Amino acid sequence: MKSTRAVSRVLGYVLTLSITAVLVSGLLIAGGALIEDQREQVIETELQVIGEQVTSHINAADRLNQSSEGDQKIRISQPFPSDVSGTSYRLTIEEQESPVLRLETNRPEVSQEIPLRNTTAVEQSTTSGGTVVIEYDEDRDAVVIDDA
Amino acid sequence: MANLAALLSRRRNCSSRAQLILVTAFALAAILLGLAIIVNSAIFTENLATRSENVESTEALEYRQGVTQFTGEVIDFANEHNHTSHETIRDNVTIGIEDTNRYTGVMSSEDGAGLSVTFDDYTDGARIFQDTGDDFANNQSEPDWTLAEDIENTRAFTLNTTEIGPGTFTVVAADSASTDEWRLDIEEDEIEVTHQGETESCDYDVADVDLTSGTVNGETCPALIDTENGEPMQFAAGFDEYDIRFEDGDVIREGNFSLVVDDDDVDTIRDDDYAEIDGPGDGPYVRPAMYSARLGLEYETSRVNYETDVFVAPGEIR
Repeated sequence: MKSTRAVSRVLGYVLTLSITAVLVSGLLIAGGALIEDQREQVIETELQVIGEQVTSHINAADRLNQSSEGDQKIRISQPFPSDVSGTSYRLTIEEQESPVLRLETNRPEVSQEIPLRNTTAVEQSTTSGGTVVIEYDEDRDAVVIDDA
Repeated sequence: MANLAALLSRRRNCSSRAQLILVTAFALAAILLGLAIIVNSAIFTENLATRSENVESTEALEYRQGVTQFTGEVIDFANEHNHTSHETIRDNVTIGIEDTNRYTGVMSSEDGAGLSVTFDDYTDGARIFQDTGDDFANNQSEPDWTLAEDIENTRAFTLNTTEIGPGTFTVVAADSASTDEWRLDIEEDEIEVTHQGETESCDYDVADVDLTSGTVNGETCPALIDTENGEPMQFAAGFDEYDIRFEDGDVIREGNFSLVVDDDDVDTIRDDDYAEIDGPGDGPYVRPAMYSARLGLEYETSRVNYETDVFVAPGEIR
C-alpha cells in the first residue's frame, strides 16, 4: 500500500501554512501586546521620575523666592529627555486649589500628576519635554515653567 | 529542455520558500527592538531617579547666607572700630563689601559659578553701649533712665551681667502711640517677660541675655520668642515706635550692654544720660553706627540664574 494514499499534497501545504500562520500570528499579537503594556508602564514611571525632578526644581525656585528681598530674578533651566520611550510628552502646571504638575503623552495616552506644595503661587503654564525652564515671574508673583 | 524547465521551476519554488518564517523573523526583530528601547528607557529612568539636580540652587542659597553673615560681621566690626562718624563707617563697610565680593567671587568661580555682590543702600543708626563693666545706671548714676526715644527698630540688643544684687532690673519698651509696654524683669535666677497682659519666664543664671535673638546664655529662651494666647512676646512686638528704658539699673551691679537703633541723630540721643566721647564720666556711650545695609547679589551658573537684594541687619528680629 502506498503511504501517500488519501493525502493531498496541496491539502498538506494548506494545513501546514495555516497552522504556522496561526502560531506566528499568536506569537506576534502576544509579543506586541506585551511590548505595548511594558511601554506604558515604563512611560508612566519615567513621567513620574521627570515630574518629581521638575517639582524639586519648582520647590528650589520657591525656596530662592522665599529667601529673597526686593528686586529679584530666578531662572533655573534643566535638561530632561525630549521623549519618553520614543514618544514626546508635555508638562503643565495646573493652577487650581491644590496645584499639580501634570505630565502626559498622546500615543499611548499616559498621564501622571505630582502635587505641588509651594509657598509661592504657581501659574498655569505648559511646555514640552526637553530642557525645562522654571522661572519666577515677578509681575505675577508666581512660578511658571517654560521651554528654553 | 523539459528537464531544464522542471529544474528551473523547482529552483523558483525553492527561492520563494520560508517567506512566512522570514516575515515572522522581521516582526520578531521589530518586537525585540521595541523591547530594547523600553529596557533602555527603564534603565535611564532609574538613573535619572538617583540624580540630585538641585545642587546649584542650594549653592546659591549657601552663597547668599555666606554673604549675609560676612557682611554682618563687616558692619559690626566697622561699628565697633573707628566709629567717629557715619561717613567713616560707611567707607569701611564699602571696603569690606568690596573684599566680600572679591573673595566670594574667587570661591564661587572655583565651583563654576559667577557671583557678584554690590553695596546698594544703607541705614545709619546709633550704637548705645556700656563696656566698662559697671552697673546699668546712667552717666548721672540714676538707676531709672531712658536710653532712646521714638525708635522704630532695634537690633543686637544684648545684656551681659556678671553680678546681680537683690531686687528686679527691668528693660522697658514703651509704645509711643499708647500706654502699652513690653517689660523684661531680670532677677538673680529668673527672667520674666510681660507683654499685653501675658507673662512668661525663663530660668536665668547671672550671664548673657540676647533680647533680639531670644537667647539666654546662648540657649533659646521661649519667653523671648513665644506667642502667648495670640500675643507675640518678642521685644517691642507690635509697636511702630517706642522708647527704651531701664528701671532699677543699679540692681545689675556689674555688666555690659549693647544695642543698635535705627535713629541716626546721635547728638539728640546723647543727652546727660551718656558720657561724652572725650568728656567726663564712665559711660554708657552713644556712637554713630550703621544699622543695616542692602546688597545686590547675582549668582549665575549654566543652569541657575539668581538675582536678589540682600538685607543685612545682624541680630534684628525678623
